[in-house]
Amino acid sequence: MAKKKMDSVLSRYREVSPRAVLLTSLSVIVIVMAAFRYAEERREEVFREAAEGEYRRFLQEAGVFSGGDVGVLAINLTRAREFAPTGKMGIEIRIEVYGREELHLKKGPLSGPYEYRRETRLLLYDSGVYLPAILEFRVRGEAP
Amino acid sequence: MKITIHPMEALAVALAATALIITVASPHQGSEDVGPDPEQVREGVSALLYSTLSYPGGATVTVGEALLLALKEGTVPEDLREEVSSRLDFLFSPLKYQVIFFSGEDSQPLTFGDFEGGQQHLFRYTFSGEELGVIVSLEVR
Repeated sequence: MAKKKMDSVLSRYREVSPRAVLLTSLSVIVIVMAAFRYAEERREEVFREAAEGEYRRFLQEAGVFSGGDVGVLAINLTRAREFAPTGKMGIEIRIEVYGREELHLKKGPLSGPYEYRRETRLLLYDSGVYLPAILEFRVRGEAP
Repeated sequence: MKITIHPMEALAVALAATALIITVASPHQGSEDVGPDPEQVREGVSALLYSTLSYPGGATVTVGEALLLALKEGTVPEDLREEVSSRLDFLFSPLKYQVIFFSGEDSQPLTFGDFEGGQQHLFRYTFSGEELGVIVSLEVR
């Protein structure tokens, strides 16, 4: 009885061609890879959104204001130095004026799988004068 | 020649094709592009025009206002030309550029840099009620 049942099960397996088994295995592998890739991209996106949030928070906290209807921003160096990152992210901020580094801050651990960089042209407020400056904002860390 | 296909094979092929399409078609989130996109060029021009120049005696004036005055008078003081060139070099380096400032139809445009072609941008600003136009030609790398 048991042998008969086993033969019946085996014969059903024999009906499936090796090609079908191979193709199914391949498609399963591709689907799993696609799922991993999607998950990785999603994590990257979450990190990027968090890093952009930090950038916006920096602009708000560093005493940046609009110079009119052109979206020009000026940074107050004293407030910039007080900025602290949140979460599992390290932040590096550089402000350069005519090749001279006016500010170079490193806060939090600058390690992790993801990185976000942004370079912005803006004004640096210094002793009553506004100078054109380049702000480099780098965030490195893990997705929150 | 007659080709026969098992339903299981057909299903497997369909699955594999779908998975491949999903994998290939999903948008890839690349790293931030820091090239000279129009917004970045605008940021640079704005940073230049709203930056200030300080004169002996403590008076300050924005570069935009100083350029408008120079356009009206038809001459650019040498120190203003040098300062604007230096700030433009800083903002657009290492790209080659040409920046033309103009206002109204009567005044002669002011030109900085000698690069022609590449990517062109046009911006308009208003200083004390007067319009200042800027044409930027930037090298594309």
